Amino acid sequence: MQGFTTALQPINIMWVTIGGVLGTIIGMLPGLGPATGVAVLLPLTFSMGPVAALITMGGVYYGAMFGGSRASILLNTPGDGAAVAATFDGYPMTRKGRAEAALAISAIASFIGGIIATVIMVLISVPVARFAVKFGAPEYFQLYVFALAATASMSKGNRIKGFIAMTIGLMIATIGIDPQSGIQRFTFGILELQAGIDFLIVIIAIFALGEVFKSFQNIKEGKINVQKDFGRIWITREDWRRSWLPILRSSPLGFFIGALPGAGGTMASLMAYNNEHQLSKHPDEFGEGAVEGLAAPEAANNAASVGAMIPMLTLGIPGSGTTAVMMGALMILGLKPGPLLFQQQPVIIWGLIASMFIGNIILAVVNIPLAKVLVRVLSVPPKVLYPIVLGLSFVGAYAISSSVMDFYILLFFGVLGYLLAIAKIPTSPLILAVIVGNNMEQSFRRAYTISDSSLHIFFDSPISITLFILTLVSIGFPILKTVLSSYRTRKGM
Amino acid sequence: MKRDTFSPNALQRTSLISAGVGIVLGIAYTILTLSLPYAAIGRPNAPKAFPLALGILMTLLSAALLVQQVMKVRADSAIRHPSQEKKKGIFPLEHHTKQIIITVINGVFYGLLFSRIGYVLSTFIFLGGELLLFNGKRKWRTVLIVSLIFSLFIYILFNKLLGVYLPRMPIIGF
Repeated sequence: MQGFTTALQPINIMWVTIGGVLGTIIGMLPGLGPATGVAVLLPLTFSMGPVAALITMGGVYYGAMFGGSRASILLNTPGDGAAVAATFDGYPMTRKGRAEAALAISAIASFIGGIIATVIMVLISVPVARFAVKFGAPEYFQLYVFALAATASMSKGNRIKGFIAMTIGLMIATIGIDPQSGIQRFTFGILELQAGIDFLIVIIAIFALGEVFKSFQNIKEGKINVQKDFGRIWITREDWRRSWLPILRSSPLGFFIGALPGAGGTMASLMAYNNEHQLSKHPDEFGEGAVEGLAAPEAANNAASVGAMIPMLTLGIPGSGTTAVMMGALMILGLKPGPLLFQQQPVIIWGLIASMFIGNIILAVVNIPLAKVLVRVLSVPPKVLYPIVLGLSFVGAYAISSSVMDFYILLFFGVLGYLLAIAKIPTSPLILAVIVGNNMEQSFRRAYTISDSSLHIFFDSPISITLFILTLVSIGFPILKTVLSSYRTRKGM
Repeated sequence: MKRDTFSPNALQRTSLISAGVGIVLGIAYTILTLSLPYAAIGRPNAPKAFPLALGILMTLLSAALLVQQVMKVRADSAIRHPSQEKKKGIFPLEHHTKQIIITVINGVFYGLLFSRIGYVLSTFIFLGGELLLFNGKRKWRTVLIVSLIFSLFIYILFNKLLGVYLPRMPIIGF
């Protein structure tokens, strides 16, 4: 509970607000989402103390998600995958002249979703952390394998490509000096590569540079016409009546999906949308501006982003791109996410959680009246904004590592991210692999050494066995589904 | 008359190329792994094990992708008329691709100049270049103002307010 006192200090509230507003602005830019926003704004937090830094980042995170919804509702251009579902009914609402209600319900649903999720998180994070302490090297290895396999297997599109992305990421992770033996791997004689490639740089490169490169194709659109005059941004009683139950249903759903590796805001919001579609008394209105069609994915989305923090904080496995960046930030601040963090630095964790509550409240308050002002950002031509984002990325990279070498690495991976997007190779398995690759390999080797060079240690404890089975299921299940469905079509059923 | 045509669509073409690149990458990585030195501490082969597995995995996965795509193209070609696809070259250098290449070159120069002439100047050049690229010479006033303000603003923000070191200009020291 000390966390609340920390979070409520005026200076920290100021940071949350600033972070939130900046995050909202970046989240609103089409193509850039919360991950980009957090990645680019992260270096601003370096000179603050760890608590202030985390709190600001939490604000940015939330802000970016609110911002992404603005773009979806007003412009039909989602800021990232998770905001796609908001376009289904949000944009139609705008076209029907109900933009104010759409913005309001999005803010309210996100707010409630976030609060519910944060409450759940408070309740389960300590037990999960205690459970996580039981993890030894073999369990961690199985966990990493599971997380990677699930992410690769559940990625959109071609599954083989997902696994290829994962493998590329792992190969990137092997660059550097091997900690256990001291020999250099794949450094090609370049001094700066000896420490390996910082995953934060890879993230900024792929999420910021890569996205900007992708948008070059569409940058011709000069000024975007955005509705600038809004009436009172609030919803009717009828809207609320139809929405509150879907919101309550979607929040826990979103939370648990967000907590799973491989699934995140995108899947959570889409599932919530489908769910409510089937449960709704007005199914025909979905896609035409049904208010619950917007409320459900928004609630699920926010809940999922909170849920994604659970594996990040308790086990050190980020549940989403944005949490990956936050994890990077924690590591730079000297905090190693994992069960020990709860034991050794409870103040920081609770401070973060408390700031999430407060951030949620502040952003909901800020977003509703300020929507008019913030939306003006969208009328700055992208031709000016995107070069600025590029500039910010370079500064951010330098702030992280103080090495110009990272400029070149940034460019290289930015282009790589662009090429991967063209080849429709998913990037989330790659990024997760870069993050956990080293830990994964080291856990394997440590476990192998402990067990005197036998493999059975990986199947000794119930945790390991369960994780292994989960891995098999996550790879096998989608394959089974495709085989069964093609079998059925061939049989003409 | 049965013509066995092989005409992939755009996505399939990129997938085939990716698969090919992947196979080459996998083999190259494996070869590099095998030439890594033996470890002096601990088990001599330990540092090679993981990368070796990765290299083999990469090659196998890429080969699988290749096979999968080839089968898809064969299945599609049997149904589709090959004349439906307007074949451009494999690398049509479209406008935005050129912009990316120029941006990368700009970025490389940015990196080269960065420590030598300081943050403000090199960022001004980089950003100016980017903005010019997209907005053209006519909007030179916008380009100038935005580049100047951004470079100075970020410099002051990071250096003075946030305490992050950014290189200074050689003589003026700003």
